[in-house]
Amino acid sequence: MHIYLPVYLQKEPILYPGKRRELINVFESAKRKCFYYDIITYTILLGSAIVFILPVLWMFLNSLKPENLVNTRIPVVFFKPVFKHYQELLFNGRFLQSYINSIIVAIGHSLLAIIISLPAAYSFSRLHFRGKKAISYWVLLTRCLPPIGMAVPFYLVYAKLGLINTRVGLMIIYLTLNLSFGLWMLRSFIDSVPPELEEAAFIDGCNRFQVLTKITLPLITPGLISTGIYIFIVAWSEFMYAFIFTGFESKTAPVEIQSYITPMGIDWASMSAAGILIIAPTIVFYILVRKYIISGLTFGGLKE
Amino acid sequence: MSKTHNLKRSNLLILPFIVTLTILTLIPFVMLIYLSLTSGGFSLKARQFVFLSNFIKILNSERFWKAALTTLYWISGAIVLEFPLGLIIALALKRADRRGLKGKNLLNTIFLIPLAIAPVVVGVMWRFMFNSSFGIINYLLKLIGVNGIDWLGGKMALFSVILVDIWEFTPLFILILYAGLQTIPEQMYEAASVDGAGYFQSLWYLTLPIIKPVAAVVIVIRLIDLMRWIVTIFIMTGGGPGTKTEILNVYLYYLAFWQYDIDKSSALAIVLIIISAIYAYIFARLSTKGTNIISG
Repeated sequence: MHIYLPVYLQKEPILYPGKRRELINVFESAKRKCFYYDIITYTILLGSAIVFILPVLWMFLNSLKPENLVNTRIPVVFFKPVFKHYQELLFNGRFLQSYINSIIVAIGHSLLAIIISLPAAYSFSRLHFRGKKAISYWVLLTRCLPPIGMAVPFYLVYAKLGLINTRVGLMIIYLTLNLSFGLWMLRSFIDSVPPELEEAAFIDGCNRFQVLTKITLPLITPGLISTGIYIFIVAWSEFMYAFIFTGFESKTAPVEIQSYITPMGIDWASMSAAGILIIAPTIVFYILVRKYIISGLTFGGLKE
Repeated sequence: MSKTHNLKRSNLLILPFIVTLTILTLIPFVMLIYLSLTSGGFSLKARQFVFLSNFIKILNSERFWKAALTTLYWISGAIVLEFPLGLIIALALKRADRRGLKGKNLLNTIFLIPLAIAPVVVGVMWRFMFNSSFGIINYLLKLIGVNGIDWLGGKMALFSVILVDIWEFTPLFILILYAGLQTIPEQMYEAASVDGAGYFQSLWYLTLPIIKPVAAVVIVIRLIDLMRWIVTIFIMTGGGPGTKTEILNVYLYYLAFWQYDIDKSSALAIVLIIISAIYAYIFARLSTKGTNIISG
């Protein structure tokens, strides 16, 4: 909010002096009020930023502490950092295996989701067909379903098909979470490509497939990558399906971190390090695709 | 191009999607309906038709109603606290933006972090901080004279998990409401200020009415997600102590994967899906204007 001294107050010979003084007083008090509002604004912003960042920083600090400094009555803030928890995790077979599982599942799933939803998004954006509205509503509904509810029938079918405790099974079930997003997001990117470009290519004798690969796809590559990254993040962070459907060999990292909670006690330092290893890639990715995050979080509904 | 031509093409393009969607959502859904109307073991063929008795069983169980009440507290508590907090911070961000504050990008990035963290890590992290003997929160409270609160183990448990949800999802309100505020043209504020409106007047008569539709959309999205949420509660309390934080999803998990009670759990799943469908319908109605999710 900018408050300027209005022109008629800067030089206004006709106003009698008292009136001018009065108006300037009003302006001065507005300016002072603005200053107080500024202080309130900055307090709110800094305070909330601290609240949002501090827990993560605290976990990061704990991941660098030797064990004896983690569970102390008085929290230790200054210490000599050790990296042995990270080393242990990365050279310890179990966590490493789960981390690799996570990478495989998330990448495989993202490719699968993109391959399935890209052509659908294209036809949603460019073509008219019957049942479009019904399909749209159905897709929205899949995004709203409670995952545990769907897990019951999936479990029975997976048990029959032998897909429990496999990474492929996980890649497939994550489609129920992400197809909706892939469709909405890719559709909005294809919408942003002007149809005239495609029509021009048609006139030059391309068929629809050539138009798709030569014109549309190159233009939406950034969108394709962002969508892929967002889907990757969802799959990477998912816990409940992974917890229900995986076993010892196919466990993903979010399931593995939870297994540090044992009746014997909790190894907080290793757990913090594992937590940091899990969230580091997603934070980086989130910042990379920040522009498109809002569209993802609002079911593709709002665009910045 | 002719219409039939379009139709064929679109079928070809959309077929994989429809097939996947059918296999992954429609078939499980039909199966769930079948399971909820029958009784018996894990084998589908051996189950006997019992009509609505599974639903009656679940609706008669005291634990269901307790979980429903807990869910109600959990959802309303989270929304009632998250929305105003998010709005205030978004407004502060907008004001700072208009006043030319440095470091806006850094703040925006910080507000993204809680959303970027895997929910399971959020749960683990807060469980550690909430620890009643060596957690940092109780230590900080002790400095201002409040002693030994049992965050996750006692009466406070539901409030604590709501607190964590506030930490995790207030940024969603901030980001989306802020994006909504960005759509208001600067000239409107100037016009209001020329007409003599102060900050709060232009807030009440200008800003809030404009972002009302956006706010409605975020609130419904949060309702949908809170209704299907489980991870942080599952990690931090597992529904405990007792059943103090047992929301419907946790109860469903308990029924399905602890008790292996398929009859009751599929009936409960159907109930939850119906609630979700109502939310989805509201969302679709809200977002038809200006969005492209539901379009003919």
